[in-house]
Amino acid sequence: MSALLQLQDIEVDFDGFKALNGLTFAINKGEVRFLIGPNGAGKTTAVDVITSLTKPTAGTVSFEGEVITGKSEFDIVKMGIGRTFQNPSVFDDLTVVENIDLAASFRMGLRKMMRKRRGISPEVAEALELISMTDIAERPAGELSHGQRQWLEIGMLLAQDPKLLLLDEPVAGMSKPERQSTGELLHEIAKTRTVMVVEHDMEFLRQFASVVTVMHEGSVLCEGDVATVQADPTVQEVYLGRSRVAAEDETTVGA
Amino acid sequence: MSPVTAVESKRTPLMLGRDLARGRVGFLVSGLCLLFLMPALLTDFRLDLLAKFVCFAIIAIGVDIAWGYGGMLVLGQGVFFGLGGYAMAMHLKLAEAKELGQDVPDFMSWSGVEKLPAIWGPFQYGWVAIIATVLVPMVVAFLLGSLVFRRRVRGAYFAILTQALAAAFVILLIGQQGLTGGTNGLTNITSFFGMDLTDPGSTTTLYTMAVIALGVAYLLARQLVHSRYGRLLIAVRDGEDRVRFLGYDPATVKTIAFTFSAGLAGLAGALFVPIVGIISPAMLGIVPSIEMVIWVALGGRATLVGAVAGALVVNYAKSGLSEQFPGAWTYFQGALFILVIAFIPAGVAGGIRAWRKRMAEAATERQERAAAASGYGETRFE
Repeated sequence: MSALLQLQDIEVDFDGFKALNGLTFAINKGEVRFLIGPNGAGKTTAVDVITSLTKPTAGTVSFEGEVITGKSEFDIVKMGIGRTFQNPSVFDDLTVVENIDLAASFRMGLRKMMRKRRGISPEVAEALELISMTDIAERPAGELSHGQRQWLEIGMLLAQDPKLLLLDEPVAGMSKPERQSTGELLHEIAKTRTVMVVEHDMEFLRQFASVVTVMHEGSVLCEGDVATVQADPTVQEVYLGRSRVAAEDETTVGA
Repeated sequence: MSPVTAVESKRTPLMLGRDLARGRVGFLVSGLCLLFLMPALLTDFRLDLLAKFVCFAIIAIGVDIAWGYGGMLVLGQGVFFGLGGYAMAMHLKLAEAKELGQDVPDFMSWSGVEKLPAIWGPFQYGWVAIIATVLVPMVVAFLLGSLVFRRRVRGAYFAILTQALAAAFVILLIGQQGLTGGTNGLTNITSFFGMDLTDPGSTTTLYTMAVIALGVAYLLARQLVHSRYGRLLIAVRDGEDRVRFLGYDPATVKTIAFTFSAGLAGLAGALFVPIVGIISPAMLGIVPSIEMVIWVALGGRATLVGAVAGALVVNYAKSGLSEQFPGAWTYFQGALFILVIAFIPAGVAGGIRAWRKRMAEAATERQERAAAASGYGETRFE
């Protein structure tokens, strides 16, 4: 089976600094892929390259077998890749339901866009329900808390109904209970969709990841299921910043 | 009960007022006032002025769509106003020349032009001119918008670009004396599709046309603002880069709004010409273009009523003050602009909207507190 998404030898050069250096990995349909790595490993840059926010200096991204490098951001969305942002960027002057409705309407023709929205479409209602915002659908997004805004971002992404969802640090800045419920939401979402999550939170990762890709200095350090990755000594060395010896000691103790 | 449903279900007098202002009733009442009351109350001279202001209000609606809702600071709407005005004036001058049995309009023969320039040819036909007044500005705006928005020219750069366009357009018009009438513009327009403009009765007719056009422009803009596209336009204003990741091309969204605003400015220009009887470069250069934005800034951007009221009131004040203290207007306008930007940056209508919202929130809070208090009471007695 060919991969849903394939990154091949991606290189991103920011004025001499190689943010990504020969990054190659693939995501298969139905996976919940976690992308982890120390700060500056290039995780968000990888998401930016996939969604065309950053143009790679070399390498290709293919989606469903088609090369998408160089396409515009909105064309990539139309192909079925959606993303959220680390800092939730919802539209404050629009209500919750209007935000989600816009996300759901990008396939609509111009003539239909020129008409007023009447009621709430089933996709939008479903997204509202999933993020538990049906009750506050008519509230301006500007009045939401940080955590709610993150959820609204996810709700917008769901309404977009992409084939691949890219979540960039969905639980950053959230309280513990918020993290827990976001995890449950993610679990629900991942049942029927392919998801890639950029995340720091190890607890979160342990609970929800099916495959983990560890990045270091712009390329893949190791890849596998949670147990394999955690047991890998090089991962412990770069990710936890410990010396190999110490890490090995710990593994022995843990085992 | 969540606060949101509380606001929707409880009808306070405040809400009723808002419904009236927003709904059809407000539109009908103000429309009828403008159409019937004003002509009865005002002298021909005042009505003629008001007709001119109504044209400006049409421009203001366009500026509001582009700037208030779309975030494009258009500092060159005079260009589109001028294109509409010149297109109409060209036809009226040609019709006049034909009436007098001349080959070319009067100003051309003064400059020694004896053969009608090719660009004037199509304007012999009234319907061509009428279509052109709206279509030419729209095509120009569409081409310009397609070019610059795709290249992500925005913010101050876009504002400067449109401003430069206004300056260039004026230079072009002045430089082509034989073709455009130069600095004087196209003057002495005395008849409009067979109607004698020197006849006092014509004022009411032209005024009525302008008011109807304003009504149509308002309804079109209202439809646009309340549509999904209108929401998208606001989204583009507040986060153009984010909108790309929702699957939309912001360049297209902005081009549509910009083109619409240009069409309205062109329509206003076409109506302005028979009302005022002249169109000249001084009416569409940098200064008038900036004034068009000031009307909307003062009235309240992102509220259509605010834009219309801003254009009417500012211009009324301008003519009133200029009659009393010639020369003082510019200073007064500047001071007014600074005051509004400093104290109510959303403009008067925007300020009122924010105030109403605060009042409604306070009312809801009081109701909830009262409800909570009585709720506790009941539990205690049970």
